[in-house]
Amino acid sequence: MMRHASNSPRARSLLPVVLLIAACGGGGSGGGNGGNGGGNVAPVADAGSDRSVAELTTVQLTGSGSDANAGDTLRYAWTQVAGIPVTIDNADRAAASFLAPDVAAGVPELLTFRLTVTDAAGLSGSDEVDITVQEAGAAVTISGVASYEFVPANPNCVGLNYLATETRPIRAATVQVLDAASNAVLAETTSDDAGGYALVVDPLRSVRLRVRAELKRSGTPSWDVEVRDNTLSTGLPLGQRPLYTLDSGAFDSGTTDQQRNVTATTGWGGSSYTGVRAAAPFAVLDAIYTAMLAITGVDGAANFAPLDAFWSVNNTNAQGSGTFDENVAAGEIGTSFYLGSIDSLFLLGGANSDTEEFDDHVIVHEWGHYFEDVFSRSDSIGGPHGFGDRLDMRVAFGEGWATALSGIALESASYCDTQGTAQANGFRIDIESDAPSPRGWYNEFSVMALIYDLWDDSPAEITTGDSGSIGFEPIFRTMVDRQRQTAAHTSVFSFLDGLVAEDPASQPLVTDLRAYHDITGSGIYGDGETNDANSAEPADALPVYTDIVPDGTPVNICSNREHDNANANGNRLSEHRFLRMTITQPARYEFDIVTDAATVAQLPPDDPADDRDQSDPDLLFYLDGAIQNRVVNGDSQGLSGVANRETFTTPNVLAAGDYVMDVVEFRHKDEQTDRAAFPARSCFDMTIRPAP
Amino acid sequence: MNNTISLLIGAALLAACNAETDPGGAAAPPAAVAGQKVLPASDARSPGKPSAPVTIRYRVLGTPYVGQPVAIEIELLADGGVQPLRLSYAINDPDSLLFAADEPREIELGIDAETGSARRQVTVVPQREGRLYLNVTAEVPTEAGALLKSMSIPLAVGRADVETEVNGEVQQGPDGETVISMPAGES
Repeated sequence: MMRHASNSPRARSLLPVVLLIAACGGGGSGGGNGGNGGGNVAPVADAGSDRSVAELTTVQLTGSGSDANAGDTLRYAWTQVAGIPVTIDNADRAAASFLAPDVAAGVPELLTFRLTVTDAAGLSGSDEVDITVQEAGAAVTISGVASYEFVPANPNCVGLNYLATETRPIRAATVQVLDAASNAVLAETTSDDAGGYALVVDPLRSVRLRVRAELKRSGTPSWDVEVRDNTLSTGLPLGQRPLYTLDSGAFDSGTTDQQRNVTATTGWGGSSYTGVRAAAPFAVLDAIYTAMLAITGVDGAANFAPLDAFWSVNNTNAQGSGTFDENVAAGEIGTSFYLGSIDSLFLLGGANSDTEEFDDHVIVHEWGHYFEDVFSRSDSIGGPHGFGDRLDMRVAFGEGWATALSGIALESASYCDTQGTAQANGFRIDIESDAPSPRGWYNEFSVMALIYDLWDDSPAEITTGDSGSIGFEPIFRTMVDRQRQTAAHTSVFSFLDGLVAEDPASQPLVTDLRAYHDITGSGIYGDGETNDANSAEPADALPVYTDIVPDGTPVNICSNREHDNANANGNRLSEHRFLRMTITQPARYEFDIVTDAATVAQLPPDDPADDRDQSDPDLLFYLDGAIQNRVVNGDSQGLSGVANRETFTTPNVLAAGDYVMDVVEFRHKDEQTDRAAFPARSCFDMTIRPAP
Repeated sequence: MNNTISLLIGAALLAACNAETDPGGAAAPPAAVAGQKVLPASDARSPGKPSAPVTIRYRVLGTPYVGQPVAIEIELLADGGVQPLRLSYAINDPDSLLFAADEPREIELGIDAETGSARRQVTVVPQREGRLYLNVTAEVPTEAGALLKSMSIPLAVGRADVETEVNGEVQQGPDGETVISMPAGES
C-alpha cells in the first residue's frame, strides 16, 4: 500500500488513521498540493527515518521542512496516524517527542507519525515515519578504534607531505556515547594506546560517539590536559573556552554489539584546507601524551599539573597590538609559547602562515617549558632568540633543554618547523649536531646537543664529545631535584654540576661533552670559565659570576650589549651580569650601585625631566632561586629608575646564605631609549654593606 | 570553505601601525619603562620556539584604504652578521589583499654592516575592509642550513573587526559546557 505524502521524499504504506489536525490555515494535508497560480509551491516535509526504540523511553521525532519559496514561514504539525495512542509533546514544532508505551515481551508495536509542514499560503506537504517499540533487551557494547590523521614533514623538513598522511591512534583520550538528541553522556571510557575503546549502552537508543580532545587520569600518575580554542566564546575565561570534540553521526545502538571506528581527518583538500581540521587538536594532544610518557617512563609516580593547550585555525604569528587578553582572543599570538602563570600552551594554527599541529618537536619544546615550570625551575628571562645567538646563560639553558627534550621524548633528532603557503616551507635543526660556533655556555644549541647526547645511545661520536649514554633518568632527576634547588641561576653549569652529583658515572661523558662544547667552568657558578664567546670585551662576559663581599668593598662591573642587535632584546651575553655573595651575618643590608664616571662622561648632562638619556642600573638578588627584592611603598626595590644610581636598603633582615645577583643596564632594552646615542657599555661601582 | 563560519568580533580599530617588532615571545604586556618596572614573575612566558637569527620589524606607511595601494616597510635585523638573506611575501586570501603590479614576491637582501639591518618596502592593495594579513618570511643561511622566521603583518582596513573561523560547530552541552564539535570520518 502506498501512503501519499505530498512532495514526500519517500513512498509509504497507507494504514487506517486517526487524524489530529493542529491549527493551520487552509490547504489540505496528505494530499498533493502543487503550486498555485501565483508561483507558490508547497513545502516539503521530512519526518525522519524509520527506526526501532525501546519501551518506556523518550523518543525524539526529528523532522524538518523546506520550501522552494524563499522567505516562506513554515508551520509544523505532528500527528499520530497508527498504533497505541501516545501524547506528542511539542507537536507544533519540527522536533517533537513522546514516551514509548510499555509493550509485551516479544510483541513489538508499530507507531506511525505524520509530519505536516504548511506555508503561509496554506500549501502543505507531509511525510510519515514508522517507530517500532520493542521491549528493552540486554545492553549492547559499542567498540572500535579512534584515530587521527597525521601529516609528516618531508625528510628535510621543507614542508608537510600530505601524500604521506598516516593514521595514528588517539591514545588515552575520553570517549563517550551520547544521547543523540540531548547529548547527555550515557557511557564514558578512556581509549587505550591502540585507540581502542568499548562502551556498554542500552539497546535501541539513538546515540552518537564523541572523542574529547583531552587526557584525564587520576591516581598515580595523574594528568589533566585539554585542547581548546582560545579565539571562540571569548566572553568566557580562557580555561572554559570551547574544547574540541570529534563526533560521529547519530546511529541506533541496536540490539547486538557493534563496532564503530572514528577518524579525525586533516581537512586537506589537495592544495589547501577545505574541510574541518579535525586531526589537528588530536595531533597536539598526542604529542603531549608522548612527552608525558617520557616522564612516566622514569617516574611512574609523576603527577602532572593541569595543562590547557590552546590551538586554533585563527592563531597566527601576527603580533597583536592590544592587551594580552585581546591578542589571545584574536589569535594574534605572535609565536607558539608557554605561559606559566596559567599553565597553558599557545600554539599556532593559521594555515598558509605557520601551523604547529604536525610539528611535534615544536609542541614538545613548548611543553618542555611547562615541565620546567611544574617539575623543575627556570630562571630564564625570555626574549627573542635564534640560531647562533650568544645568549644570557639562563635563556640558553632553558631553550636548549626544551629542544633537547623534544628529541628525547620523540626519539628523533630531527626538529622540524614547517610553515608557509600550503605549509610547503620549513626548516630543520639536527638536535644532535647543529651547534653553531662558537659553542659554549651561552649557546642554546650547545646546551641542546649536549643534553641530547647525554641521553642518546647512538654509536660513539667522539668528535662531538658523544662518547657514551646515561639515559634519561639521571637527566630527569637532576632537573627535578638539584636544578630546581640550585643556589645559582639555572644554567648549563648548575645542570652539569647537579648531574655529576646525581650520577657520578656520568662524569666521563660530561667531561667529553664539555670539552667539545668548550664549557670549561666548574661548579654551579661556572668558576674558571674561559670561553668568552670571542667578545670584543671579554671582561664583560667573564667571569660568569663576580664575587662581592657585603662589607662595603667596591666592585666595578659592566653591562654590555655588544651581542645584541638593534631590536634591543636585552637577553644576550654580557647584558645581565651576575654576582654572588655570602652572607654570614644576618642583618639588613644596603645595596648601592652607581654608574661610574667613565660611563657618565659619555652621557649628556642629566635633565631631571627626562632621564632616558641617562644610565639606569637595575639589580635583582636571589636566594635559592627566589627573588629577594621587596616592594616598598609601591616601588620595587632595585628597579627604581633613578638616573645613574640604584640604591636601597632591605626592609627585612637577610638570612645567612649564598645569594646571587643580576645587574643590568636597563637602557639596553628600553624601547624609549635612543640606543644609537647611548653607550653600548655601562659600568657600575657597586657596594653592599650592612645597614647602619 | 566547508563548515566554516565567519564571526565578526568587535576589536580595537587600528590606524596606521607604528613600528612593530618580532616579539620572540609575542602577545606580551608592553615593556616596562623607567619608573614603572615591576619584579619579574617566577612563572613567566617562554620565549618561543627556535628560529632564524633575524628580527622582523615593520611599519605601515599611511592609512590603508580599499582599492588604494599602501606601502609597508619591512626591516630585518640580523644577529651576528648574517649575509645575505632572502625575504619573501605571501597573501593567503587574494580576495582580501593583492600585491601591487610588478611587486616581486621574493628578494635577496644584504645586511648593512654598520646598522645590522636591511629594509624593504612592499606595496599591497586592500580589496575589502577588515583585518588583512601579509605573510613575510625571512630565510637565513646558517651552518645548519637555511632557517626561517615568519611573521604575519596585520593591516587594519576600515572597520577592522577580527574575523574568526570556527573549525567545526560550536555546541552547548546539557551541562552548559561549550565544545567545538568536529565531524568524524566513520567506518
